[in-house]
Amino acid sequence: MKRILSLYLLSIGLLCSFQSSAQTRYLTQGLYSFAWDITVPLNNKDFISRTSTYGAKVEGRYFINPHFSVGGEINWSSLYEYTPQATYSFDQLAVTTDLYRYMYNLPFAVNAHYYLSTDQMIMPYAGLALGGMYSEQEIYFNIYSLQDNSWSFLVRPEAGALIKFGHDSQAAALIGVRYSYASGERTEFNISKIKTLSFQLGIALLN
Amino acid sequence: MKKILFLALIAVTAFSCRKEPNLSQLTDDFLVGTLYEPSAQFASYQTYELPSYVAIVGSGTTNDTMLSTNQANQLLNQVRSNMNSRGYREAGANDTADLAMNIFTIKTINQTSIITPGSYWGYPGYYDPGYWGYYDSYYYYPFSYTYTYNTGTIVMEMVDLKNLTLNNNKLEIIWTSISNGILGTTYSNTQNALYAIDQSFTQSPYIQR
Repeated sequence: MKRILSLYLLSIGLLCSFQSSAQTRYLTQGLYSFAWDITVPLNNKDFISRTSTYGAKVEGRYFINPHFSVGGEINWSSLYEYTPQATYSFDQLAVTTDLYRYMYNLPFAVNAHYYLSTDQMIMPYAGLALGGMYSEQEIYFNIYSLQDNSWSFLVRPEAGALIKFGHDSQAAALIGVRYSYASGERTEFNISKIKTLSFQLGIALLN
Repeated sequence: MKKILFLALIAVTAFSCRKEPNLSQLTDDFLVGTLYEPSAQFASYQTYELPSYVAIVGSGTTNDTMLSTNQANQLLNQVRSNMNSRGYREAGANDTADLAMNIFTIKTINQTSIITPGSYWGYPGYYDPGYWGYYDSYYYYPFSYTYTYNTGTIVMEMVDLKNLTLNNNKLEIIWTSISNGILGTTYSNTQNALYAIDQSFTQSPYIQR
C-alpha cells in the first residue's frame, strides 16, 4: 500500500512537472516583430488615393499576463501618385505640368493587446495603439517642389494573429490589419485628419 | 543582445528605405506657366507685332544672342498662328501695332538662378524699347513673380503699345508666359517648344479679340 501511494505521488509529481513545462513552453513573455506594411488611404484622396506597398513596422511587446501585453512601435510608409499633365489655375496664374504627389508618414505609439490564448500555435489578438504621427507632404513638378508637414495625435485599433512556426518555435508569422486616425491640422495641400487602413505581414521573435 | 542588435539593424534598414518617386520623367514635358494683368482689356487690341528673331538671354552655351533662323521662325510662326486664331491681326511694316510680343529663351549650363520680372532687361539680344520704336519708353511689369530659371526656358511677354500715353510712357507687360524644359536644336526639343507656345495660349482663353 505504501509502495502504491509513493508511486501515485510520484506519478502526480511527474505529471505536474510535465504540465508545468508544457505551460511555460507555450507561454510567451515578450516579442519583437518586424512587418511589411501595406497602406490604403481612406481620405485625402484628392492628394493621394493609391495604395502604398512601401512601408514597415517594428515593435516590441511585453506580456503582463497570458492574455495581455503592452509595448511600443514605430513604423513608416511612403505614398505617392503620379498625375499626368494638367492645368492648375490660381487667380491670374495658370500652370500646366505633370507632377508627383508624395506623402511620408512616420507614426510611433505605445500599444496594448489582448490575446484569446498564448498557449496555442495560433494566437489571435486585438489591440489599441496611442501615440503621434509625423507626416510630410510634397508636390514635385519639373525641377520644383512644394513641401509641408504636420504632427498629429494617433489612435490605432488593430486585429491580427501570431502563427507559430512549430510548438517549440521561438518565431512566428504575424498577420494584422489596422485602422489609423491621425488628428493633424490642415496643411498647405488641404490635408487633415489622415485616415488609413493598413495590412501587415511579418515575423515575430518570441521569448 | 544579439536579438536587439538584429532588430536595430532591421529598423535602420527599414527607415533608410524612405521611398521617393522616380522624378526623372517629370522634366520630359515642359512646364508652362502664364500670368496676366487683370485690368488689361484683351479684346480692345486689334493688331500685334512680332520680333524678327528669338533672343537668347543669360549665360549661354554659346555666345549667340539669338536662336538659329530656322528654329526661331518655327517658334514665331507658332505665336503668329495662335494670335491670328484669337482674332488679332499682324501689323503691316508701316502700321503702328497695339501689341508687341517679346520672345526669348534662357539657356544656362547646369545652373539655376532666381529671376524676377525685368531682371533680364538690358541683356544683349533682349528687345530694348527702341526695338519697337519707342526709344524714350521703358518696360513695366504691373504684377510680380519670382521664378527659378534653368536650362532651356522660353519666355513670352505681351507688351501694351496702344496705351503708352495712358501708362505714362511705360511699356506695360500685360501677359507673360514662362515655359521650362530642355530647348536644344533637336527636332523633339523644338516640338516641345512649339507645344509650350500652344499650351500658353490654351490656358489663357482671355486672350481673345
